[in-house]
Amino acid sequence: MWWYVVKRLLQAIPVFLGATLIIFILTKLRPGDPILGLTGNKPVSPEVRQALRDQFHLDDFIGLQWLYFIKDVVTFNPNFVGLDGQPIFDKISNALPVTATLAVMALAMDAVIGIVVGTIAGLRRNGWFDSVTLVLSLILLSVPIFVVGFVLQFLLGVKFTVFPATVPVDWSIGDLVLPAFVLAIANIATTTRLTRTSVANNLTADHVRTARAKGLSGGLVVRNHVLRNSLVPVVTYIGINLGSLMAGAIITEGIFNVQGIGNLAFGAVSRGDTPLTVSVVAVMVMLYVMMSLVVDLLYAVLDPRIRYA
Amino acid sequence: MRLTRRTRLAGVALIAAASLTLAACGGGSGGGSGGGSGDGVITVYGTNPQNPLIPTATNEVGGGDPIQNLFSGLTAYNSDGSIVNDVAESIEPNDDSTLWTVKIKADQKFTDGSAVTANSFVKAWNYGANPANKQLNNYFFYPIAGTDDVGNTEKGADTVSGLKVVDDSTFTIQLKEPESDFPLRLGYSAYFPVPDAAYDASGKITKAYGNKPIGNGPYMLTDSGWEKNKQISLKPNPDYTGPHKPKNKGLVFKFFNSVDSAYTAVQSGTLDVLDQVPPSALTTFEKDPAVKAYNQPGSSFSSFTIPERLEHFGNDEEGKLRRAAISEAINRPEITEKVFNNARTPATDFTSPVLDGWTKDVPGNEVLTFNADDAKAKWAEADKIKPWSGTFELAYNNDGAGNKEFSEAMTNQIKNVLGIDAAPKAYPTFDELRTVVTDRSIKTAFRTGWQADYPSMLNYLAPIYAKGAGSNDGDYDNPEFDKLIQQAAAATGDDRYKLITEAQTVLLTDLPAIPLWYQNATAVTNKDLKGYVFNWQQKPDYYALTK
Repeated sequence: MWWYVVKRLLQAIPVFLGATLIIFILTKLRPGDPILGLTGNKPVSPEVRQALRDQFHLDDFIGLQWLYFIKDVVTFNPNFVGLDGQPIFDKISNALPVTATLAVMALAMDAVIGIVVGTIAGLRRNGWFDSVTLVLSLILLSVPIFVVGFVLQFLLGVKFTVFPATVPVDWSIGDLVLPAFVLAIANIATTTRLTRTSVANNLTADHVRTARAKGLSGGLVVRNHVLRNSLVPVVTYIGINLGSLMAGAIITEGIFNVQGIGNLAFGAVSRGDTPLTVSVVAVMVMLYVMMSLVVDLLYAVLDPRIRYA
Repeated sequence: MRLTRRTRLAGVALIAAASLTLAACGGGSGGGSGGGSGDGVITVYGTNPQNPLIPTATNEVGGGDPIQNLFSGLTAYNSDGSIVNDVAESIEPNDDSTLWTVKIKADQKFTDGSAVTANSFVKAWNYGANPANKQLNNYFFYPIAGTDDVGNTEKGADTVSGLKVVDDSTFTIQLKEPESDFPLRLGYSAYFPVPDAAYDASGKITKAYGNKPIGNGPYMLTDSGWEKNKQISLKPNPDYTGPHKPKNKGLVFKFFNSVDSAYTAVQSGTLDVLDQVPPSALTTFEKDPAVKAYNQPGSSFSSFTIPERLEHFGNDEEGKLRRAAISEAINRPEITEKVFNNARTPATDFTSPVLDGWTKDVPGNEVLTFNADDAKAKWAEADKIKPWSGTFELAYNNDGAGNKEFSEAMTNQIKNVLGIDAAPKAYPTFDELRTVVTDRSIKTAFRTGWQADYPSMLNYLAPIYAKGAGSNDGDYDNPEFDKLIQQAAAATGDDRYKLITEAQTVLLTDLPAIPLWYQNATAVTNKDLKGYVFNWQQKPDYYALTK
């Protein structure tokens, strides 16, 4: 078991190197000169421009630039700065808490609402509740997130001031409820469908029939025999989603002015700030890797037949 | 994110639909009350500064707005763009305005208690002009003797030879050319003084200082100061004695990722001041019950440039006819109304209506009025010289609000009036467009704009159209124009304005850039905010805001 965890963590190293190299090359392929982005319409003297280009190794061979980047990251160089001269590690560590909180809140809403509604729909499949949730989840899946975001922001934030319309700098959990809900909406629909299908399939499984035949109560059968097996695909989906929640929060963070990772990434890409872009994306990649490891370990908890030796 | 405009539109459309439904069922109350922070502290819109807060390093508004409040220069701008001495006791020219003697008021202090001396200015300017220090504002020093055309110290020297400290309270500035309005420049942030505490042993301004600057302005940083990617908090500086004494108890620049989310924050009462209105709200902001709205002509000038390198657009008879024809083919009022909801004002010259000496009657500016028949006639005449071939393309950057819409509308007008192929050409981001403009590889016309650094009409002309000037993207070169500009720079009063008008008439004949419109200054504030006045930079006078 522990050996398995160590092996997986070691595998993360080539993933990190490969991912950063690919993103690095992609951002370098973007035309334009980030230094000109810094100066606007105003002239910049060739000497100053060159000095800045040298500082960020912009004229070196791409592979070499990438090695500089890796060196800065691995040594946690406090002078590792983006094109705006701000330390990158500070920026990321300032932005991570709010994004992580947002993602976890969204995940919690997703898991609780999705699993509960999905289970009920699965137990009473083809009933009216099942049909209503099917229609609802289809609607939720097909309305783009920014529409839901803007409409809810306007209704609940501006018109009826139930929630703050934008997230203040010194955010608290309460401020994040609305953005987290917006972020969770699309996933809730998927989780609901997944749970419903899985539960419906498991209800007809042999071991469930056996449990019922032994005279166990309905609730006990559902909790111990149906749900445990049904949740394997759902947990996979939810776990992998945490990664995409972190990355997919760009739109939601933009609408609600959450100063998180999504915003950092968006700003960095639009300014052509390669060091910052690659660092932020690298963080996202690592989160993905960690989450998929956690998910794999959870399988063992849910289904004793899965063992990691 | 190529979706933004559409997303906004979709969002707005839905919100509009939702609000109609709400209105029909007797909707809710307006915005909330009060700002997001303590009594008398005003929260204003900001963006995270892209550079350390050093006066010579910062050339964008994110850092510029806080710096304007943290420091005081030799002169300070009144709301109308005129100047008043601030740190300076006097700024006196010699006979031909080439040598200026600056005397500093007694007892001026930085917030760390050290004195503001002649050296505080000269040292900071030398630092800014030295290319080794990579200061983006170095081009502000190009008028001073001892720098080259782009404001670098000559031959890589550490100091600018035209700056001399006479004693603690006096220094002299030797200029390359006469410049009668030189003091107008000196209120700009590139010329602010920096205390000795900012420099390390080797004479470099430290990172720590850039994060927590010590200034001499109306405000100083609070203990929390600049919280990266969050906000910058300022409190009044008790030692400040200049003309901009704060009437409020402090400012907090709150950072927003998008102007849209800032607008929502004003509506819901969590932000007091937003000094620009997002395109999505332009049609509604003046009727919005949740905010106070402001809209008036402003100081930024929009144009597009057709480089003389392009075939058919050289500096000759054919080129002039074609430029004039294209200019007359554009219906500016239609675009400012339809695309910009009257948040732009059609241009009648190359400067801005907020400036002293501006007139709407520059001889030759009828070429900026829509005239389809004349445009066709001129185009036909040019065709006789050399037949037209190809497509007229206009390049724009897609990350600027409204650029795509106006470029499409404008090329459509040109196409319909002149009967030629015309199309917009998108560059995803601003720096990609600037790259091809700067290295002269762009083969099309492209949008240009200018936001002045200091309130002088000459600042709209010399840096852009003078031969070899830093922002002369179209490589315009007309000795007659250059001569008029130089004469105007040395003249004063009405003579000066007359010369500027003559210079503009030359530009209207040659059209090195084709003027489009002046951007209006638009803003929304909290209902109970008072004292909002636009200064010439389209920014509020922050010190005068109260609630």
